[in-house]
Amino acid sequence: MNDFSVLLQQVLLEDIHKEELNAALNAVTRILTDINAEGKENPSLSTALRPDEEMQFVSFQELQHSFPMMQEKGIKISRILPMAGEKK
Amino acid sequence: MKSDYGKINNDVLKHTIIEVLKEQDAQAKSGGLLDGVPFAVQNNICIAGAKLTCGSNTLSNYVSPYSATVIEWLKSEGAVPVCTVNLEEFGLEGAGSCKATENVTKPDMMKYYSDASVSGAAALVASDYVPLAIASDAGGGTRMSSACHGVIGMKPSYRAYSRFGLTSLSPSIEQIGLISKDIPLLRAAHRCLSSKKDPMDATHMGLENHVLSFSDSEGKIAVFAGESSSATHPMSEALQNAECLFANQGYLVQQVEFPFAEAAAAYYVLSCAEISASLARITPLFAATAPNDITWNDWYRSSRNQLGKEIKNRITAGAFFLQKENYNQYYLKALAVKKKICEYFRQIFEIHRLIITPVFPSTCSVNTGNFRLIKEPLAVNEFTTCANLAGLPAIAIPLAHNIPGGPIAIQCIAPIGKDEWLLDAAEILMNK
Repeated sequence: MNDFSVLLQQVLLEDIHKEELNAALNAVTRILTDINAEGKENPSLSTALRPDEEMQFVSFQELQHSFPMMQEKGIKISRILPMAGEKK
Repeated sequence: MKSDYGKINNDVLKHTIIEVLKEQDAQAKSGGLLDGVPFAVQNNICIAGAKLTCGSNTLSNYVSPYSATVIEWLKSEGAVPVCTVNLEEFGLEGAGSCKATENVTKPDMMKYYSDASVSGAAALVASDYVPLAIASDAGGGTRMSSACHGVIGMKPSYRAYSRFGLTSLSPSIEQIGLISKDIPLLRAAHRCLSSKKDPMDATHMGLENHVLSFSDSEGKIAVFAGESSSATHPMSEALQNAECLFANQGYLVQQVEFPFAEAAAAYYVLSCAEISASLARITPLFAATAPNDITWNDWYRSSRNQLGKEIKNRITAGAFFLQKENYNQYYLKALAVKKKICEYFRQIFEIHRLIITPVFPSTCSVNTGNFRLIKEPLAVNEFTTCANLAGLPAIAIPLAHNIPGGPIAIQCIAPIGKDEWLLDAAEILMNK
């Protein structure tokens, strides 16, 4: 670990409500995982979010591809940053 | 005029700004919709020349250089901002147990927490210090605090009010809301804030046409059907009372299930991710107050150590959700759930005119004198986050006041843009 990681651990991670954070993360993980699983508990949403349904998200590559078209329409783009977790 | 409602916690009035407001009072326009109405401002909404602490020690000496659009528009109709009020750090939902300053308890029952982030504003309105307050609503704070204090708390449709000048940590779900006891006053303030467009806020659209009254025609009302509808629970009794009142008005009331648990999970992911990103924008404000001779590491340590534990939790969780390896599993999935929830509500509102739900899963929490540890953080605001995720207008309407644990309120949710239906519904329920 570098110096900054140690500092981050000291000022942020060592002074939080670990019990509450763990409870929240566990609940979020369970609920979001269950939504696409078989035998869903909440039919109101899980039927709406079908496992076979493919979610469409605009990728960074698609955004890059659309730049020339947007610029033709007069939309100015100075710079755009990739979304977190997305490869350039 | 103050009522004998009880001793108010001094910390509610943590930041009274007298000198600035004396000048503003003198400049207030007369003859407006809100002529002479004093209002309180939650301390994460900018007033030029006043301290803007956001309830956080990190901004304890920061003075806002400009006023929020909502402040200017309310003043343009003759309303007078008289004080700023305390809030949970950065308006995060909680129990009124503000670590950065002090806890806010209920003025009439000091042994109870003011169970949400907008604790100061709701306590002040409940105590008759001011008839109107404006506060932010990121996950239900305005409605939850109002419910806890037995006053009306309203969150408008997303984009209805300008958010320019609001220190918003969750920009895609946070809105400025209104708190009052008086429905005509709420209606006047709502029209003042939603009838114009603010060029300073790209997300602001306003509400161009105020819709016909909700009570002008018949329709169906959807009522939450779930675990909280147990017969002995005070919440379910309040829901049943609301059902009866609407049925007596000729509305057909139907029980419907809602994806509240999924919404709460998606809300937690999205809000934490946005909080984690938004606080990076505030870092230059920390830096502005740093001494010249301090090392970077020491400055980092001292500035971050001033943050409360709850916000550190959110930053940590947000950073976790946005990590490359977790991004698809959490953040993108939460966005997908949000999209589906919007679609789900759109389908509900094709048939129903209003949705009635509880505000809280239970009554207020007892003040133990310590920071309240929320064992089930997603359950606390599970009924209120749906409206924020879907951008729907929602209101907390008090129905019963003399119940152990505090007043009982229900929440009404309306379609986007039909904000005034909520005030019509409040009139039906409160003038029963």
